[in-house]
Amino acid sequence: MISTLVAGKLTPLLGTGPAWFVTGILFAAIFLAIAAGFAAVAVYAERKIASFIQCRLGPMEVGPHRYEDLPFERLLPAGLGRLVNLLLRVLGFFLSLLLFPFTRRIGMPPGWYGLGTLVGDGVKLLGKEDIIPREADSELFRLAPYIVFTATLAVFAVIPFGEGLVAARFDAGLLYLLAVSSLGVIGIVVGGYASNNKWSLYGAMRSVAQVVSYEVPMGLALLSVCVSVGSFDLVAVARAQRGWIWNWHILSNPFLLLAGVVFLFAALAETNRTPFDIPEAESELVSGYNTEYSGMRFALFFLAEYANMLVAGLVASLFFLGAYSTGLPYLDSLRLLQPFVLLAKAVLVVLLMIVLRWTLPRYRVDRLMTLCWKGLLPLALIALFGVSLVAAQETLLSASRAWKAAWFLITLAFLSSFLLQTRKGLGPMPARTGVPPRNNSPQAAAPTAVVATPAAGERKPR
Amino acid sequence: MRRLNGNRHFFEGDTLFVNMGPQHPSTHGVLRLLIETDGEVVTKAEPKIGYLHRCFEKSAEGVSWEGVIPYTDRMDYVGPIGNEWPYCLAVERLAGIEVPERGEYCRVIAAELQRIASHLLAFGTYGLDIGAITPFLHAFRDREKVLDILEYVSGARLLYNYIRIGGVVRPFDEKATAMIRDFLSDLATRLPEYHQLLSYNNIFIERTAGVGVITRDQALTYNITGPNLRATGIEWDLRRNDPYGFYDRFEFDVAVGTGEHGVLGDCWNRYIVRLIEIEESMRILEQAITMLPTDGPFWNYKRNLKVPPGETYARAESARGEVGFYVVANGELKPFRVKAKSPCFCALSGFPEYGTGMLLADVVATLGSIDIVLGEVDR
Repeated sequence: MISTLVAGKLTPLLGTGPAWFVTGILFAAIFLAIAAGFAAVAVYAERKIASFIQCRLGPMEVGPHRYEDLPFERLLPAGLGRLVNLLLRVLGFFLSLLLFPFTRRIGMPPGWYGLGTLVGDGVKLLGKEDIIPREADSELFRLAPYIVFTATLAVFAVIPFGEGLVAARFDAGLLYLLAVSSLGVIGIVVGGYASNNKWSLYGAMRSVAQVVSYEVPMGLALLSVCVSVGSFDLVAVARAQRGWIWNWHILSNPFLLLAGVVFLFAALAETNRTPFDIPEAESELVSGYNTEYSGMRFALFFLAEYANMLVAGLVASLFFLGAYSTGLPYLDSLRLLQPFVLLAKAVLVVLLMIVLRWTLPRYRVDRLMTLCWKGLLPLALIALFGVSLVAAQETLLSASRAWKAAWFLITLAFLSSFLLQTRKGLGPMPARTGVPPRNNSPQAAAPTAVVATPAAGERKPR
Repeated sequence: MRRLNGNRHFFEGDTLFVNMGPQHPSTHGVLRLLIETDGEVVTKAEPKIGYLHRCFEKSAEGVSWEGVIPYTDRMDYVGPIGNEWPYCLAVERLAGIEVPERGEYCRVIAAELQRIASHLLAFGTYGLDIGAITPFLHAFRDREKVLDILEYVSGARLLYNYIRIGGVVRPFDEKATAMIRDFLSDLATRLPEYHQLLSYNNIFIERTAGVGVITRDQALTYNITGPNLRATGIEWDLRRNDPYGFYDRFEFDVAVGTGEHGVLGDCWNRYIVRLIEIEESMRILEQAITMLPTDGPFWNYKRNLKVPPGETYARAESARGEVGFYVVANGELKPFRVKAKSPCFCALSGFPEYGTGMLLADVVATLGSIDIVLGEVDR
C-alpha cells in the first residue's frame, strides 16, 4: 500500500492477491470512520449554522463548564494534569477564533460551545430502547437501516481521494457509482413498508418517486462529464482536471457548468435535503419513512443521510470542481495534500446544502416532479448535447490553447452573469405593489346587511 | 401484504384513511383531521374537534364576574387580550360601568400589541408548515419583545388577565411606552426581511398562491371573520365597522387581500393580510402612545360586582376575527350564562368544503393559513 502511494501508480490500493480480504476490511473501516467523523462534524456545523441564521446561539451548554472540572488533574500526576488543562485552554482559544463569526466571543466559554452535545447525542442514541412496533414486519424493519447505510458506504470505494488513492478502480466507475448510490432507496422503501405506519409508507413512496426521477438528470449531468473526459473511469475524470484552475470541469466550458448546476439540484433531491426533503417532510408526514425508528436504527438512517451528503459533495467535487486538484499545478505534486483538498471541496458543497436547508421552504410533490422532468431533464440534455459538440470540436477541429481559453472565458461570463443575477435577486425587496385600497370612512363597504351597533355613538369622532 | 396481517385493510380499496392528529406536527395543537386520500390527493378531510375542551362556559357560571377573565385568556392562548376585551365589554354594558379614558387607551395599546404578537406567531408557524424553519425563530425573536412589554404591565407572559371590568389592571407608563417605541422601530426594519425571507420567496408563492381558496360566498356562509374573511377582499373589521373602545379615534386601514399572487381568498392572501395588519397595528400603536394620558384613573374598579339582570352580546376584533360573548346576568355575584363565539370554530367548520380535493401538502398549507388555535375552537 505504502509503495503504491510512493510510486504513485494508478493501480488501486485494493489489490487482487490473498490480502484482498484484509485490505477490504481495512478500507471499510477507514470509510466508516470518515463517514461517522464527518457526520459528527456536519451535525455540529449544521446546528451552529442554523442557529447563526436564526439569530440564536445553538448548542452552548453541554460540555465541561470549568477546566478544573475535567478529570485530568485527578487522574494524572499533578503537573501533567495541569499541562493537559493548559493545552485544552490553548485549543479552546483557537477553536473560539474559528467559531468567532457564529459566537462573537473569544476564549472558550463554559460548555465549550456545546461540543459535548455530540457525545451526548451519541450516548443517547446508543442507549435508547430499541423499539420495534408490534405490528411491524420485524425482519425487514431491522434490515432497512443497514441497506441504506451500506449503499451509501459502498460508494466510497470508487472515489479517488488522491493520485493513486482509490480503493477500487473500475473502468465503469460511473456506472458503479450510479448503481450503488441508488440502492439506498430500497432500504427506505423497505423501512417505510415494514413500519406498518401510513406516514412511513407515504414517505417511502415519495422517496421512490423522487429518487428514481432525479436519478435521470443526475446521470445525464455526470454522463456529460464522462463524454468530455472520454471515460467512465473516475480516476480518469480526476486526472483530466489536473493543472490550472481552468481545467476544472465547471470552468472548462459553459455546458459543463450547466451540468454542474443540474447535478447540484439533483444531489439535493437525492440526499432528501430541503427544499426537496419531502420524504421526511416533518410538517406533513410527521417524520416520513423513519417515523417508527428509534435508537441505533434511527442513528443509522441519520448517519446515512450525512454520509450521503458527503458522497454528494465528493462526487460534485470529483466531477466538476477539479477533484483533488488545487488549481495550481505547483501544489498538485504535494500528494499528501490531495485527500484534504478533495474533502475540503466536498465540505464546501455540504455547507452550501446546509445553508440552503435553513433558508428555503419545501417544494410540493407535484412541483418537485415538474422541476425534474420539465426543468432539469431538458437542461441536462442540453448540457450533454453541448458537451458532445465541444468534444467533437476538440477531436475534429483542434484542441488548441486558444479554444480552451475561449471556452473558459465564455464560462466565466456565464458564471458571473448568473452570480450577478442572483445578487440582484437577493437585493432589497421592492415596495409591495398591490397596496390594499385605502379607505378611512367607518361605514365603508359593509359586505352584509350587518349594521354597526350604536355602541360608540356618544364618543367624540377624531 | 400477507406479512402485515395486523392491518389487513392497509392495502385494500382505492383510498387510504389517515388520521392526521391529534398528535401531528402541523395540526397546531390537538386537532384531529380524518383524511381520506387517493394517492397524494386528499378526497375528504373531516376535522374532529374536542380534544382541548375544558368546559369554559360551564366553569364561567361558577366563578365571580371578574373570575371569568382568566378563563377567557385560556380560549385563544396566543391572543388572550382579544378575548378579555369583548367579555369585559359585555359585562360593562350590562352593569353600566364607564371605563376611564386612560384605561381605554391602554386597552387599545395592549390589544394591538397582542395582535402583532399573534400575527408574528402565525407568520412563523406558517413558515414551519411550508417547511421553512428559519422565519419561525425570527418571528419569535420579535414576539419576545411584545411579551416583555406585556409582562411589564401585566406580570404575565402568556395569559395576561390584563383587561379588567371597568379598565385595565395597570397602565402603560413611560417605561412601557419607551419599550413600545423601541419595538416599533425594530419591527419596521424586520418586516422587509420577513417579506424577503418568506412572503416573496418563489417556492413559498408556488406553495400558497391559488391553494385552499375560500370564496366570498363560502366565507359569508360559514361566518368566517378576521383575516380569513378579509383575504377574500371583503373589508370587514369590527374596529372599523362596529367601533368599540377608542378605535374610532385612530387612523388606520383595514387590511384586505391584495390578490398580488394567486387569487383572493387563497393561502397567500390570508398570509399577506396578517403581515399588512401588523403594519396597521404599528400605525395604531404609534398614534396611541402619543395620545395616551400620562395620569388619571385607569380602572373603575367595583368591589363585589353584582350585575343587574339582563343579557347582551358584545364582540371585538381579535387577531383571529370576531370574538363575541353572549352574557346573561340574573343579579348575582356570578354570571348566569356565558356563551362564547369563536372565529376559529367558524373557520374550521368550513374545512371539509375548502380543504379537500388537493394534495396532502396543500391540506397542511391550508390548515396553517387559517391560523386556528384549538383552545378557542374547543373552549
